[in-house]
Amino acid sequence: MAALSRGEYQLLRQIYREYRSTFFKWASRRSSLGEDDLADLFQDTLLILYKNARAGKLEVLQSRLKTYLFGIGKRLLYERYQAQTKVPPGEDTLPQKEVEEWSIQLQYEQDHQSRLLQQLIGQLSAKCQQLLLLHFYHNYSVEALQRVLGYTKPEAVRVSRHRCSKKLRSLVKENWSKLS
Amino acid sequence: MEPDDYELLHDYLWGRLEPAAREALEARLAVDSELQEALDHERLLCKAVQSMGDIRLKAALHDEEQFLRSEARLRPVWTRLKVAASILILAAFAFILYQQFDPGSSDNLLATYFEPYPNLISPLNRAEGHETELGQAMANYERGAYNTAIRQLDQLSSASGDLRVGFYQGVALLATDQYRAALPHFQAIPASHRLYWEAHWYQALCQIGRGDKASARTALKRLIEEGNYQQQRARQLLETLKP
Repeated sequence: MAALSRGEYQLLRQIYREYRSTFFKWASRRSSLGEDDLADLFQDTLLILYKNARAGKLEVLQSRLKTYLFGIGKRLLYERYQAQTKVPPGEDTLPQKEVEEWSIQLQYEQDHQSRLLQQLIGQLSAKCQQLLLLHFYHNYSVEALQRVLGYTKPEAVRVSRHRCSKKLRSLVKENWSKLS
Repeated sequence: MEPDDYELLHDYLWGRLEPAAREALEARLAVDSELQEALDHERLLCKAVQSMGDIRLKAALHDEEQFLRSEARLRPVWTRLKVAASILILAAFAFILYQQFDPGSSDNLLATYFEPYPNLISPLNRAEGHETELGQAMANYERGAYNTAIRQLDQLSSASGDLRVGFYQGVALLATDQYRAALPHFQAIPASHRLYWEAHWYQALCQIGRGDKASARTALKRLIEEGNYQQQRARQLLETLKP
């Protein structure tokens, strides 16, 4: 969990492999979802887990990873697929505080504004996109960015990050009327 | 706007500011419209990056799902191949074990009971530097260079008709697992010959090498009852060969 909170998102693949089969069986018993919907549910569950970990909400995880994962899955299953859910969520096995923290909006559920923002980001260079993503989404520190992206000095990372952010800001400003 | 204000706004949006710093920033935001506008922009920027991150991470997990499904489709074929390979490996392993640990196998019996007959026909030549063809052939025999010895002894045997030479040729053939070729050399030794019972012993070993244990038992019984060579070992061997 500590590794996830540091932005080591590659671990999600490992978690995906480890719990996919159990999660699918578990969710199948509680719903009539097909394989594609089960996969979608599991992927969103992992996304929420990652976002919570990255936001520092799971640093002191009171329950096991599996329990937490299935707890998120149970909530999502009920919220999104009420019509196809056989068993209501009932008593959650996790503390209420942790349950509340699941209610994070997944940003890929796009509205018009998100789609436009995506187009703006697409106008940045690939390296800028990667840098912004690692820093602002995966929470990479300047030192981690220097190591991963091969910068010689931390200052070079800061300058690049500033330039990329500035470019995106100017794009946002230019399109403010469409975005707001 | 100070350059560091963007960092500050970013930390504010992520909820990472200490209470004192947050209150100070909120106080500035209340009176600084430029800063407030920058915060709105920064909020959108954050949303844009969050959106990009979610989409890419979701895509990566989707790829993982597709990979696992394609792996699962291939699994039955692989499983069958793995099972077949495992059976083959086990069979080979069992065969090797059988070869190594079955004391009654032909190879093990021969490895246990076969010894080359000592060179008694040209001991003097050895001291003299193997000047004769027989000396050279027997020197090779003693060195274990059986294939060379077989060729040389074959020439000598054909030329001289000396049964002793044929006998050693038979032993050399037996040493190189040429049981069928070795057998006539021992069978050619008549009962009156000094090497008759020796030939009888090696004849039994030839039969074992060929897998003809019944003939081997007959030869060994006769050797035990009538012969005067390797009788104790013949008894042990016969015991092992009991059906």
